Amino acid sequence: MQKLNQDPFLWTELRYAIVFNRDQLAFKTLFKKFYSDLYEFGYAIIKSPEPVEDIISEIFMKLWLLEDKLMEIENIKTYLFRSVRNNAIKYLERQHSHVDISEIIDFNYQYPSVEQEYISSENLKVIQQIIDELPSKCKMAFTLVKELGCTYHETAAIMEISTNTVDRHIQLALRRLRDSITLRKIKS
Amino acid sequence: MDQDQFLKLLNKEIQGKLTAEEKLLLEKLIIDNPDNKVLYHFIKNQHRTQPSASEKTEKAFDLLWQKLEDKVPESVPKRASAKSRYLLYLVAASIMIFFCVGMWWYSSQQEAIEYKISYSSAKGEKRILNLPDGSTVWLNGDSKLYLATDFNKKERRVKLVGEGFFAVAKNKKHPFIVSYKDSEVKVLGTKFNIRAYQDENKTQTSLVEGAIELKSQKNGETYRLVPGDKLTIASNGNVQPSKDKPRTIMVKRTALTVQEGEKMPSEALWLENKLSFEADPMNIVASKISKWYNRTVLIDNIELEKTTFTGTMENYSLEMALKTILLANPKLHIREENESIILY
Repeated sequence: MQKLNQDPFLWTELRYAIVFNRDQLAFKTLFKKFYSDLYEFGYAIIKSPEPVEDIISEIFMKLWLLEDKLMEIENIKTYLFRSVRNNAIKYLERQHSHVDISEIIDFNYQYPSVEQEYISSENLKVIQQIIDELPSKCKMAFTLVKELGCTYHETAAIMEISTNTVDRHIQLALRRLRDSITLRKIKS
Repeated sequence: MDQDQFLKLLNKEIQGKLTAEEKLLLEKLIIDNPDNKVLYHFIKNQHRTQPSASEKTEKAFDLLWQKLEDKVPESVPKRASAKSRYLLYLVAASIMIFFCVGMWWYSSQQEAIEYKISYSSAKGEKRILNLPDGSTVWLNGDSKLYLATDFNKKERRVKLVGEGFFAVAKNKKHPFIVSYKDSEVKVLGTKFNIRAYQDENKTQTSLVEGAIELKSQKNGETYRLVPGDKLTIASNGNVQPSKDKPRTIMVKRTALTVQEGEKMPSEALWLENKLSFEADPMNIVASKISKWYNRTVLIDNIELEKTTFTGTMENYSLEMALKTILLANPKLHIREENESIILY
């Protein structure tokens, strides 16, 4: 599985360069490493490009201005994803002040290329539909684990829930997917 | 039944927790059932962003940097064009030359740093010092802290002999520098502990919070510590270096450990009036006890430097402390000689 693996040594080096030398290149390396995944994650929640760009830009600005407080961030990956998640939800709350936010979070990922070698397009459509019908938190956990290569532990830190709850979300998603693949295939 | 098992195994596979045996079983379940196969392949293949997104990333970063430049011009170094960059290299090179000359001059002058004010603690005593810059230093027993005459003018330079825990007030304009034995740490505003007694053959620098840069004059290296790091520099310091017996130095980076039931790492527990040992060899154990209880404790068996002790003692009498260490090491013996306690 291709993973957004966060090399802890790299982070140690980068944050030193950022804190001690105010190194722009190190800052940019960090930005480039996470930008597209953070963007996709934020876009899946907000579904509009500009606010996502603004949110990510603000998070990194804050990061640069943290100066030596940056040393307190142990896991930069979960810090960044958690920030995107929280800010995206805050943004939606401002936009729709009287709507239940958990109803709005709706990942709409495309599943192109790779899967099609093994999975027919009908099956892919079925899968997409099942994922869309998952409860929102379950869907977020599933997306973080499957699409963004987060471990259960990282997912728990990002969503601010326990690792056990992440495990339960994944179990539910897998069971529904497995049941529906059999069921809907028979129907059609 | 098979389906439950398949889902359980798949969940484990996602977490990378499958044993070899379970892997075989999972493969069998995938081959036997095409629906399992569909789900398995779906889970195993991640959707990734196309590399073409990198142009977008570049643009986003430039925009972000522009915003930072507008917001706090002094915190962002200006970028230079190719032409002025060339000029910059020239300037940089000449600065380097000046810098090297300056460093040489500086290092030849370094002995001249004057320390005026000094604080000291007796054996078995602890002191809290409030420095004029707002920093706080806890001095462990038998320790001394000197303040440079021009402390807080350009920099905040202090010298430590013994053990101290530093909570340094943040002040970017005046870096806080601690020299001890053959090392020096430069600080931005942090919490850390230094143990550097003259009669111990190593120094230990432990970082609790923030960031420090440690320069060792023994090997000229600079080490950067992150919170939770402990750097131990050991040397056969008492032996004069000679051709056939060069001075060897050993640098070890380890993680601070918090013993069960404690809130702080062992290296800082003395602040809570607890005598703590963290895989300390017997010569350090003896030194710690002798400083804590103000009694001479000696080692009469060089092999004991390989025996270690870990544990934390609160309100122990000297007798209880020694008994505990003896109990943990059946091979250890003890005797008393002219008021001194000797471990062998």
